[in-house]
Amino acid sequence: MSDILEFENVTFAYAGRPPSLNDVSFKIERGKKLAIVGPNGAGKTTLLLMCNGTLQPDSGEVRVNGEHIHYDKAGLRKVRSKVGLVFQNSDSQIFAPSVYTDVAFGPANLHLDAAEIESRVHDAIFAVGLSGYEKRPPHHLSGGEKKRVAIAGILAMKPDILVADEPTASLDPATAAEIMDLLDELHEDGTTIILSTHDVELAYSWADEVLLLAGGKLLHHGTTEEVFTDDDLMLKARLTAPALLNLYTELVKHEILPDNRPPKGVPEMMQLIEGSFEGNIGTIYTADTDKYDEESLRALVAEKNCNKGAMGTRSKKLCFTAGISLDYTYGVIDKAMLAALLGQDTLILTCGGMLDRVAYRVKMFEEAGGTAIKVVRI
Amino acid sequence: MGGGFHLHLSKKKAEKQSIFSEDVLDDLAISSPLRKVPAAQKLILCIAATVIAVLSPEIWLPAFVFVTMIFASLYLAKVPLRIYLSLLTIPLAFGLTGAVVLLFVTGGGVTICDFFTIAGFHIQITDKSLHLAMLVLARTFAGMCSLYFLTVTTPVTSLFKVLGDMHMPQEFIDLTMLIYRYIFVFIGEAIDIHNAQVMRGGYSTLKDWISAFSMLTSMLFIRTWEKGEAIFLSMNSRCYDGIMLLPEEDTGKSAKYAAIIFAYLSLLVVILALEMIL
Repeated sequence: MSDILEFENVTFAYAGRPPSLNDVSFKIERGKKLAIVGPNGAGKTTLLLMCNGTLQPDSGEVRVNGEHIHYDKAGLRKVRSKVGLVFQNSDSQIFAPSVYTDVAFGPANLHLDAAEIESRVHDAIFAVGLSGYEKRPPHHLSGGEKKRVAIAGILAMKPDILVADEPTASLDPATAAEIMDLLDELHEDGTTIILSTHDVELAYSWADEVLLLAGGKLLHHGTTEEVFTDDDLMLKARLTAPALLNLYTELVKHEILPDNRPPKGVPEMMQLIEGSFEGNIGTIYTADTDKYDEESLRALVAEKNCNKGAMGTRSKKLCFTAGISLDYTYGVIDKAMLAALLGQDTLILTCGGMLDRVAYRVKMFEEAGGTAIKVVRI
Repeated sequence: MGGGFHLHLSKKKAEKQSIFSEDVLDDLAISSPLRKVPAAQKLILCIAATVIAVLSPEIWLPAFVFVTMIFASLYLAKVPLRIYLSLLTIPLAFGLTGAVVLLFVTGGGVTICDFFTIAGFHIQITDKSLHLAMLVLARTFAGMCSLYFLTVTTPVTSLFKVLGDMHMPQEFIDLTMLIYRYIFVFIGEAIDIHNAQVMRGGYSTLKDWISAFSMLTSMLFIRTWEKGEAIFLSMNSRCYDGIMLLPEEDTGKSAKYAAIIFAYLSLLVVILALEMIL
């Protein structure tokens, strides 16, 4: 795999201040989910602003797709069409008088032709689940809807990398989970996603890799388990480990659980505690909602008559219009796996690349020593 | 930051349906049954009706304009009566003050009622001053009611397109769109700051009031500045190259509405001509 983003010995200081970033070097492979984690003032936002050339390093180099950024007008346009930045405050990002014109802003400024702009805007608004909101002015939207519009505005530019600064800040937990689901959907469609956060729970459950930043220095770049089980690192970065890992390390100290097997999620933890699951293991059924209409989906749900979960904006919307009540709307795969361990079946209604994600997550669980759960695609 | 909180506040206010909450007029316009009438036609109707009403030498034409405009706003555009009445209090207050001054200060014609005399200056109502005061009041109302008709039926977003069709400079339209968008953001900021001040006992005495209000305005200025920089950053991050699209509107059969508006305006011109002749 090729490196999509590369920082080499990057140092940067705002005028008259100590360095915000100090000799930072890392590489990110295409298709990864990366979380930049650190306390307030660690330099997270500064680092993100460097990804699209808004800030120029005092020394060192930033490379996107292996090419360095040219800090002239043409060069910056090029890098900004590749790297889309979603700001923390949606009110700063959404400046046009209606949802449609805001999402169309990027494509129009890339000088695409009218038909292409229209199709991209339509697709982006559809992807974030806001079809029908095109004419609304932004001040008639809720916080979560504004965030979706902000993301759609970046999506319409079809970037290779989507960079989001604290995407879940000031959103309620359910809305935050939906936004994270949306980012997962985009990731399944092939976008590399980088987000900054100080929410360790979120970073732990979502990311493939973590970049731990504190005081402008890169403390560690590695897998989530590696970073969050290292007490020294956590202390240096003024962060607390995720609750699940905390529990795990305590249980290890009491010699209840084996060492060196930090659980990725609750199902892994259950597996560790239980040892092996005897008896009846449930099945996870997955259905591609793009192949169903309201009528046939209702028929399918009635036929299966088991736990129901939906992933992805499109699928959730279809379930809503079809009047199907869902048992799980976020953290769906983990909840389905837990149900399976209890011997219950679950039907996951989803679409596109998310279908493969279910199989992938279950396989990952199995590889980490978990019980085999059957995933059946209908 | 606190985005949800502003929204929460403004939503709460909208439920109360007072004209002093920032987005009631915007809400009305967006959900208006007359939204589908092309904005340019409504704009022409509003401006033409106002101009014709002001040209009229008699009160009958302006009276006809404001009565029809009130009818159109209440029955065609389905604006709740209470909101419309509270909207009318604004021109009523200004119009009445002006009319009262005109009533006593201007003169000529036959004296109807002479109150008293100060240093040889008669405080009195004459038939001419009465006519002038009534005429000014009627014209004010005609103009305001026409403007309100436009306001409650036409979202600001659809007027941008009209500005574009009128070949206004792109910079002017872009600025107008940005200003429109951020009026609501800054009202939210102002409400937040104001709440924070009131919570900690601001505005209790006159002296407090002055210092708290000056803090609010200066804070708002700084926030405006910061927001401006944030917008610039965000525009550049999306490859800003001088293009902002204008919002599109789907409109109904424009010929039908154009005919109705044309008929109405012709009627006004006929009344005007009759007034001039008779």
